Amino acid sequence: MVLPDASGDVLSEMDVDSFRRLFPLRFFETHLVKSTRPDGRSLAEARETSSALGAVASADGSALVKIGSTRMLAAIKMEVMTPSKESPDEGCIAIDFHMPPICSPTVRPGRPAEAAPVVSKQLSDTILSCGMINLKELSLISGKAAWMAYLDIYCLDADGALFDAALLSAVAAFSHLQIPVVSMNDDGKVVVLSGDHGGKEPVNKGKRKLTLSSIPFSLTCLLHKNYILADPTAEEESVMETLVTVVLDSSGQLVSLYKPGGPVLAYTSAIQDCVALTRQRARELQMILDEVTSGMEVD
Amino acid sequence: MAGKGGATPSTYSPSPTTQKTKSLSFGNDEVLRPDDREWHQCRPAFFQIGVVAAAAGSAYADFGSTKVIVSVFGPRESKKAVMYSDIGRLNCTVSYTNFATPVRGQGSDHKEFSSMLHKALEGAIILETFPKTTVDVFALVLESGGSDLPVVISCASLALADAGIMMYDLVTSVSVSCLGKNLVLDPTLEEESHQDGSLILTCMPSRDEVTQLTITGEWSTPKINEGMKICTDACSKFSQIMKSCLKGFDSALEEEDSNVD
Amino acid sequence: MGEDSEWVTPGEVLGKASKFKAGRGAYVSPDNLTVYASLTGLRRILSPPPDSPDQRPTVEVTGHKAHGAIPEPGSIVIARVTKVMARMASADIMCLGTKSVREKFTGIIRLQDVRATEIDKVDMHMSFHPGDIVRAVVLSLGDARAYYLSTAKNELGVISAQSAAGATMVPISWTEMQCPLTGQIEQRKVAKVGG
Repeated sequence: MVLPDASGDVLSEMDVDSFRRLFPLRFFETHLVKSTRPDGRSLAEARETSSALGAVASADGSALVKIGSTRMLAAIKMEVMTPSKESPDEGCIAIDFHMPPICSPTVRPGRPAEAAPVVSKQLSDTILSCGMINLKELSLISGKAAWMAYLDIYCLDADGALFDAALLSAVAAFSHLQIPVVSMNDDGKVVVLSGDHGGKEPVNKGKRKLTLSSIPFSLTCLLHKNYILADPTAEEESVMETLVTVVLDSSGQLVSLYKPGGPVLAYTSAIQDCVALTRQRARELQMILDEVTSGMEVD
Repeated sequence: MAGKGGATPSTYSPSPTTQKTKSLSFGNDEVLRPDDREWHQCRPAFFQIGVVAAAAGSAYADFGSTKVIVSVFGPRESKKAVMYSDIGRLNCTVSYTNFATPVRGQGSDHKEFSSMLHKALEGAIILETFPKTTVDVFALVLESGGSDLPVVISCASLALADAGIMMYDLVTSVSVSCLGKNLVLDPTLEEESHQDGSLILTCMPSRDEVTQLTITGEWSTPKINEGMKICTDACSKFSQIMKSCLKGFDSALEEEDSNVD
Repeated sequence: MGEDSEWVTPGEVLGKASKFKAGRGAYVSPDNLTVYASLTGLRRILSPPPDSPDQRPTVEVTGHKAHGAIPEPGSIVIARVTKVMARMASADIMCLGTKSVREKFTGIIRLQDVRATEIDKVDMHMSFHPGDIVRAVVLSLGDARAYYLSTAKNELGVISAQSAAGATMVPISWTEMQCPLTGQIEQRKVAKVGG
């Protein structure tokens, strides 16, 4: 009886599709040794990225962002609140990240995706700590009324690097935000002023846009052996599990760095490489953002 | 201070909740609808398939300011502890984004629409072709601009076709609102809020079969007949757009088409 | 319209049942004896085999993506063993034929379906280990939880397995595989290869 090498034979009679499904790590490694990835990218290359503003008509600011197949829709709705006693001159931002069942076969109704609250928290921490938005600009009447900006980000198609896409969509939505012109009515409520002001004086004249300083940009990288893969797809994330997410602001300063465990223990040099890749990526993202926002001003 | 968490202060929307519109005088025949449509004219409709790469099939539909995405997964293993079944199962869920409605909502699942979607589609799917397994249809209303359920149903049928699920026919759906003495086709949210009655007709257009008919509010028999006629005509018009979308042609409803009445 | 006229979508009429048989992607409505499309794709007409008693041509719809394959009795599958118990092993079906499945289907191999002979001597733990890749045939749709799989044929069984040392083992007989690193021999229900 002749029994040749089983694995060799299995591989030769199996098509690429099945091999990829059964031996995903070996499949990826055959590409990595040639410094490429199955989708044709080089290891340090991010996927094609685009953004469009104003996708949600009923929101005060919105943006759609696409990184490869990953798509995020972010929308901001402005509501009015009474500011807290400790900070009477500040508004507030509430950030929520959602993964509805439409976005991935792994999400089912009634069973929220594990990743969603994690990304939600990371987004809140990043946006509120990077100093992009001065909460004082969200004040309306000191101690009486201030804006609460509800930012909801929906993942419409999940194919990896969710945090990066969500953060970019959040930043783009804030750059698109037009704060409604409001006045105080006789009941002490803040209401939107319609076309003619009806004799009322707006309380926030000329404060329709937020000043965005030090915008955060991020890049997620996958570490596997000595390889660093920028902007991973969902499949890459599921096969190789060590992720590092670096967030830098527009001036190149480090805002945050996440490495939520994973089997690969990163050397400092790997982290430095990730930061360098993020620096390069931040420049690309800044250009994409500048392009869409300049398009907006022309309108 | 933290931007979110348990201590989120109570907030309210500065937009007036009930829009006192410039006198919606729907009783008057001379007056056009707020968006200048004829009574029996649909909003510009646009369909696209294959919008969600992670799904087996998907579709996007946009009727004026109503925008929905539907993803189809499967046939796949039935989750939950369900009984063995010789035929396939259909599972439908409809939900809204928090920003879908004029006043920010909670974006929870819409139980009633989920069940209506299920019943509207069930009869059109050849369940025998995927025994024991489940096809999941998930709809997300990105923006609610009126006639949400009919748009979700038509969009879901396109997503099923895109996923290659065997069907007896496409399923198209459209609604009319009864406003005074007028019947208003494909009503907006504003028109729906003033309606005396609503009729939603869902059908399999090539087979001339109705899969679902929902009538609420005040209707006279002649009005019901008229409403069904208007809806049937609109459904066959939509089915043409949906077919060309599946065949990869331009799938936007031409203005000229929709003006014909 | 030219070639466009060949494209059909679900619900489109393909012909009368008196003239055509319904093939893949088509069905006959008993109400009006009409053949309709049930999928999107190209309409094709296949001539009947000359010796067929039914001389109607078959009309079918192909070309567009049909849904992913689902296991049916008789399908050859490739599955990854997830759990081995005394009387059965669970396995995730990853491929149907040579095509991978998008997600996975759960299958079980019961003790009596491991091999064709000496069924009473089968020990599940000497046949499969978690992580093994097996080739199997679908016996039946099984129960609510799983498809019933069988490896009771020479060409069915373990096609790839890792040794305790983590190396891909080499089959040395119908029941044994050997680790190339340590030389240690492990028991398996090995599939005959190249068959």
